[in-house]
Amino acid sequence: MSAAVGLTALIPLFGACAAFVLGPRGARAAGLLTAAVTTGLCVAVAAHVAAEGPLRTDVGGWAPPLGIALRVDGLSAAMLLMGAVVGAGTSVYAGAWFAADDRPWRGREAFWPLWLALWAALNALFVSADVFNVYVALELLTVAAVSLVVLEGGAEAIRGALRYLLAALLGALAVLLGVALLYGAYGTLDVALLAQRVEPGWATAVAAAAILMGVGLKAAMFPLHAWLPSAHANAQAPVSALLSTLVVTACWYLALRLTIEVFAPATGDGAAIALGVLGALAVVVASLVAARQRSLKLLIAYSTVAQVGYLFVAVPIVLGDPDAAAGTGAALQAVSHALAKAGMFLAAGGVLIAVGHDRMSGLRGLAAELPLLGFAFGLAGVTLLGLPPSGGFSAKFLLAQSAVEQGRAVWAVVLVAGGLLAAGYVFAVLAATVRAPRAPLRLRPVPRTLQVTAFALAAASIALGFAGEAAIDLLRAGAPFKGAVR
Amino acid sequence: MSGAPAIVVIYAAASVVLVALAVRALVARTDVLACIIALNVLGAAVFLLLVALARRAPDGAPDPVPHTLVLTGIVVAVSLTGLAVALLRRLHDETGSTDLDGEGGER
Amino acid sequence: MPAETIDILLAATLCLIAWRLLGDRDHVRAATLFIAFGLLLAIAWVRLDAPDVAVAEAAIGAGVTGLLFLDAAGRLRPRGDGRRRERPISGGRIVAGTAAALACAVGLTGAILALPGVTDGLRPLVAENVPRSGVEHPVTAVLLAFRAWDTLLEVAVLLVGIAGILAIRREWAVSMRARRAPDPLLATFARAAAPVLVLAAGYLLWLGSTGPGGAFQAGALLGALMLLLALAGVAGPARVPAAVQRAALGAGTGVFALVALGTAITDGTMLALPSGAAYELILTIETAVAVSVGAALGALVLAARPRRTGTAAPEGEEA
Repeated sequence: MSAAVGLTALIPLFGACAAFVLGPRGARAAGLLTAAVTTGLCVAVAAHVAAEGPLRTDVGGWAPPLGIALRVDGLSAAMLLMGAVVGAGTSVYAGAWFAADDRPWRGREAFWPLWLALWAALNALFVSADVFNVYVALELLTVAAVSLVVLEGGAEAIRGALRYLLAALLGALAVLLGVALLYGAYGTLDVALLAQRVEPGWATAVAAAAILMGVGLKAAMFPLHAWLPSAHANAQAPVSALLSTLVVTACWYLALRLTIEVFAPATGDGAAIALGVLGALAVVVASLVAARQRSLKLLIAYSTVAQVGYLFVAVPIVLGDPDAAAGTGAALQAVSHALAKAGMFLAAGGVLIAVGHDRMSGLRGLAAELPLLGFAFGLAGVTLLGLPPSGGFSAKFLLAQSAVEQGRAVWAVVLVAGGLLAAGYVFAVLAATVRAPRAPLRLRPVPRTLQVTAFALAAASIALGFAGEAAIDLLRAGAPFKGAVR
Repeated sequence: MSGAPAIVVIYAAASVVLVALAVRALVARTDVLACIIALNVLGAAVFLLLVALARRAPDGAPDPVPHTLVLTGIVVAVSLTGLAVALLRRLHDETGSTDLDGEGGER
Repeated sequence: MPAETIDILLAATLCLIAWRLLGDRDHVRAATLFIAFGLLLAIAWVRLDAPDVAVAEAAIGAGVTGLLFLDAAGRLRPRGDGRRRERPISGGRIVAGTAAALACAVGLTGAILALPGVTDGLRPLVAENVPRSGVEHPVTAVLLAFRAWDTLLEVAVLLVGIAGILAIRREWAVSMRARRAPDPLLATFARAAAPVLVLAAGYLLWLGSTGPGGAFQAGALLGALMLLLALAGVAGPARVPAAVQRAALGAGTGVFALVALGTAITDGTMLALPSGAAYELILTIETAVAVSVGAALGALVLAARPRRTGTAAPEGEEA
C-alpha cells in the first residue's frame, strides 16, 4: 500500500502523457479513464490512513537526507480526498462541457493532458516531504494551471494567464531561494529532518519569509492576490473551478504545513500571526469588493480571495492547538470551500451556456427555469456563509471554539464577521436568481451532466457538515499538527 | 559564514547583487518582456547562490546535490520562459500590443 | 591570490552586464546581453567545479532562452501606433524598486552571513551510496537514482510546457512556415553535421554515467541539431507527422513513468531499480529523456515562429 502513495501522482502523470500523445482521438477517453483510476486510488489511500494510520515511503528506497520521502498523514489524506472529489466531478463536467461545442479547435484535447498534469502536481505536493520536491511540483502546477487558463480564451484570458504566470514564477523563485537557504543552513531538504535541525536565526527567518511569500503569491494571499480575479474569471468554467479550489488550497496547505513543522519551532508565533492578519484583511476587503461586482465570475473569483483569507486566519489557531480539533476545522474549511466553490463555478458555466453572457442580470429567473443550478448556488452559498448544517459551519465552529479556548478570541470574531460579510455577495447572487426576469427568458439548453455535477459538488459541501466525527478521526492520523504543541 | 573559501564569498555576494538588481527591475519596469528577462536573471542569481554554497567543503570538493537542483532549475526555467514568450506572442497577435492594461510586472 | 582575482572580475562583470541588460529599453540589445550573461555564468559554473551545470547553462540557459528572447524582441514591436512603447519609467516605481531591492539585499546578506562557512553538505553521503546506484558519476547518481522523482517531475514540466505552448498556438503539433528556399550551403552543412551530432549526443549521454554529461546535455545537443535542420530548410517540423512529434515529446516522461510504475508494482517501492539492472534502466531512461529534451527544446524555439498557414506565399523571413 505504501507504493500507492507515489502512484497518486504517477498515475495522472502517466495519463497526461498518454492523453497528450494520443491527441484528438483518444485524449478524452484517456482523460476520463485516468481520472476514474486516480479518484479510486486517492480514496483508497485516504481510507487506509483513516483505518490504519499514516503511510510513508522513500522513493527508490533511498532514505532522506539522500533521497526523497513521501508521506500521507491525516491532513494529506484529507487533501487527497478533496482533490479526488472535486477532480472527479469536474472531469465529468468537462467531458460534457467541451463536447458541447463543435468548433474545430476548442481546446478540448489540450484540456485533458493539462488537467491530468495539474492533478499529478497537486498529489505530488500533498504527499511530498521534501522541500525541493515541493518546488518542482509547484512549477509543474504552474505550467499546467497557466496553460489551462488560456484554453480557447480571448485577449482577457491571455492577459489573465500572463499575470498569473509572472506572479507564479516570482513565487516559485522565492520558494527556491528559501530552499537554498534552508539547505545551506541545515544540509538537508527533508521536512522531518529540517524540523529537527531548525534553529532561530537570520537564515531561517529569511527562508521562512521567502517561502511563505512564494506560496502566498500562488495561494492569492492578500495583498498578493491581484492576479487571481482576472485569471479565474476569464478561464473556462471547469478550469476556474479547478484553479479556485484545488490550486489555491494546495498552496495554502503548503504554507500551513511548513509553518507548523519547520518555521514555528524557530520563529515562534510570528509567522503564523502575520499570516492570520493578512487573512483577516483578505476576508474584509475581498468580501466587500465581491459584493460590488456586476460580473458573476468576477464575483465568485473575489469570493475565493476572501475564503482563502479564512484559511490563513486558521493558521495561528491551528498552531496553538494541542489536539487536532482546530486542524480539523481548518481542513474542513478548505474542503468545504473547495466543494462549494467548484459547484459555484460549474453552475456559473451552466448559466453562461444558458444565457450567453456573464452579467449578474442574466441570473434573473434562473431559480425557476434551471432549478438544479439555482440550488447549486444556494447550497454553495450556505456553505460559504458558514450556516448550519454545512461543512462551512462545522469548520468555523471548530476553529472559533479552539480560538476562544486558546484565549485568542479575536480570531473567532474575524471568522464570524467574515460570515456576515460574505452575506453581501452570496445574497446578491441568490436574490438575482429568484427575481423575475424582465423579459421572457430564452435559454439555450444546458446539458444535464453539467447541471447535475454542479449541484452534486455544492451538495457535497453541505454533506460534509455531517462528517465531523469521521473528519476528526482522519485528521488525527499521524499527528500532523503535533508541531503545534508548544 | 566564517571560514568560508574566498570563491564562495565572492559568488554569494554576486548572487545578492543580482537578486537586488532583478527585484528592482521587476518593480520598476512595466514592459512584460523586460519582466520575464528580469525573472530569468533572478533565477540565475538563486542558482549562483546554490552552486556557491556547494563549494564550502574544507577540501574543495563540491557537493553534487545543489548541482542537481540547479540543473533541474535550468530546465524548469526554460519551460516557463517558453510558455511566457508564447503567451506574449499570442497577446501581440490578437491585440497588436503587449500591454497588460496599464499593469506591467508581476501584478 | 590570482585565482580569486579571476573570480572577482567574473562576478563583477556578471553584475555589470545584468545591470545593463535589466535597464535596457531596447529588447534586442537586452536579449543579446542576456546571452553574454549566460555564457559568463557558464564560466562561473566551471570556476565553481560544476561542469554538468556549465554545459546545461551554456546550451539551455544562455542558448535556448537567449534565442527565445531574441525572437520575441524582434517580433513584438508594437504594431501601428509607434508611440505605444513602454511608458517612461516613473520616479515612483524606481524608488519602490530600489527600496525593495535594498530590503532583499539586506535580508539575504544577513541570512547568508548566518550560514555555516565550512560544511561538506551531502557529499559524503552521496559518495558512500554512488556505488550502489548503478552509475559512477555523483551528479548522475543524484539525478537518476537518489532524487529521480524530482527528475521525473522536471521532465514532465518540460512536456507540459510544450503542451501549453501548443494549446496557446491552437495546434497539436509544431508547424512552421518554411523558408522560401533552403540555403544550399547551410543545408549541405546540416546534412553533413547531422550524423556527427547524433553520435556526439549519444557519446555525451553514455559519458554521463562516469563523468559530466548525461541526458540533458545530450538533449541540448539534439535540440541544436533539430534547429539546424529546420532552419537550414533540410527537414522541418512540417515533414514530421503530428503523432510522431508528440510521441517524441512524450517519450521521456512516458518511459520514465513506465519504469516508475513497473518498479512500484513489482518491488512495492516506486523507482527502486533492481541492483542488477540499474545501469541499463538508467541508460534507457536517459536515452528517452534525451530524445524528449531535444524535441522539446527544438519545439520551444520553433514554436515561436509564425505558423504555417496553408499555401500562402511566405514573406521574407529572417533565420
